[in-house]
Amino acid sequence: MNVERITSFGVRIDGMYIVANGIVLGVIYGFETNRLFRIFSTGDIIGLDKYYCNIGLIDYFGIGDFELDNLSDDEFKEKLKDKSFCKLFSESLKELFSELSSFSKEDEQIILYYNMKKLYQMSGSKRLGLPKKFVEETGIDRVMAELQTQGKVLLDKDVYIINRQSVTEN
Amino acid sequence: MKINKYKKGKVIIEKDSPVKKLFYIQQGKITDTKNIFSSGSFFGLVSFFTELNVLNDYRILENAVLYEYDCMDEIPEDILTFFIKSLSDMYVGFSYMSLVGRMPDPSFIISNYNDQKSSAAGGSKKDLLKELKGDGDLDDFIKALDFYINDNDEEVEIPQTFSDFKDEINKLLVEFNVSRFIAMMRGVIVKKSFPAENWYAFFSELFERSITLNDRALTLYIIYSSSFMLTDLEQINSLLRKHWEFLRFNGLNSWIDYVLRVHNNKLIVQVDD
Repeated sequence: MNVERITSFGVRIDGMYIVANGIVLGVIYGFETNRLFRIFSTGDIIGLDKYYCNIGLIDYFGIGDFELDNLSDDEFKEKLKDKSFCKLFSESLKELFSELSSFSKEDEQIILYYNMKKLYQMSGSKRLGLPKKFVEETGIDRVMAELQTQGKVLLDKDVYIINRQSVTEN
Repeated sequence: MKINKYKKGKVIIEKDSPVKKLFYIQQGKITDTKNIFSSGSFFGLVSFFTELNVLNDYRILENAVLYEYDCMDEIPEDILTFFIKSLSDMYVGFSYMSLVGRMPDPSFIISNYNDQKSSAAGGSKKDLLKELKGDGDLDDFIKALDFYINDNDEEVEIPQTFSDFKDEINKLLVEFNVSRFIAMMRGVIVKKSFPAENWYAFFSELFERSITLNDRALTLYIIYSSSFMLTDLEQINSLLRKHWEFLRFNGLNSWIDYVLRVHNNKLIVQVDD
């Protein structure tokens, strides 16, 4: 399974991206721990973080087959004048901020488990998980190991995948 | 869109009530007891989008003029930039505070990016080392420089004299107008507008001010800019030595490394010339 860093993030970003198809993972960096903080899917806008201080502060990785539509800064502003785009964008922001609000009260295991479940469910018949290499190198391996110990995820052919039994139980 | 004026002390959104409008502060200050929102920003965005009630009163801290929009597509072109910036602040602040309990550190993230870029997506530390030996390292370095030098849409007029330029920069710092400050500095760096002998005293002053303000991003930018404008390596070293404890305490060593690399790169270019 391929996980591809969307390379323009982290240093400099030209415009924004809309997830045209597939799934994108968002990773944020703390001093002690990194977090897979969100699963973005078709229709979501990624890259809004760059306006905070002119560089991307969140890393995004496409997983499996994915397509992105690039919007320049001007095109993004132009789109914000369009009622139908604003409606979709509002819905996307509603989901984003609602998730982040609920995360603030939860510990990191629950957040990772929620995101693993979301990844699994949103990937349809592909039933995606996270490659072990990606988990190790983004620094989320400690929490993943805790989920594995609890039986909530399984390691199958070097890919962490949600334990379907645990989804049923929850 | 409606324009409303409010007097200090007035509660404009009551605790446990929904936010039905997008509020832009044209003038004045608002507080929700935890944060202060100033002119040029939107407030109440999370509650507006999630349709959840606010947790605190939003009160006028200084007499205010507010632009009130019913929906996003009503926001005019000249206010859209402020809207996007406020949205971004909320997104980044909310993500980082909710998940790691602190605001992001751009220098740490850039350093992390460089460490992980070849490995997290399927490469390895060996690949990274291989790249460091080749042109990949230089490419990354140039990309990082691009952010400071080229990635700037804001047009600014550079004053004719160094004295006027200093006045303008000082004014922008007092106003804390960071984007215009950077645009002005970039303009001067790119055009090499003023001779090198003007810069050392001014950078010393800017460096001290940024440390007094305890603004890490501004400090980084000043270190960075100094490496472009000062031609004497001793002067750069002297600036760094003078504030070494602050830099070390704030983990800015990777940026100091960048500064030295800029300077070395400049020396190489000069030799080639």
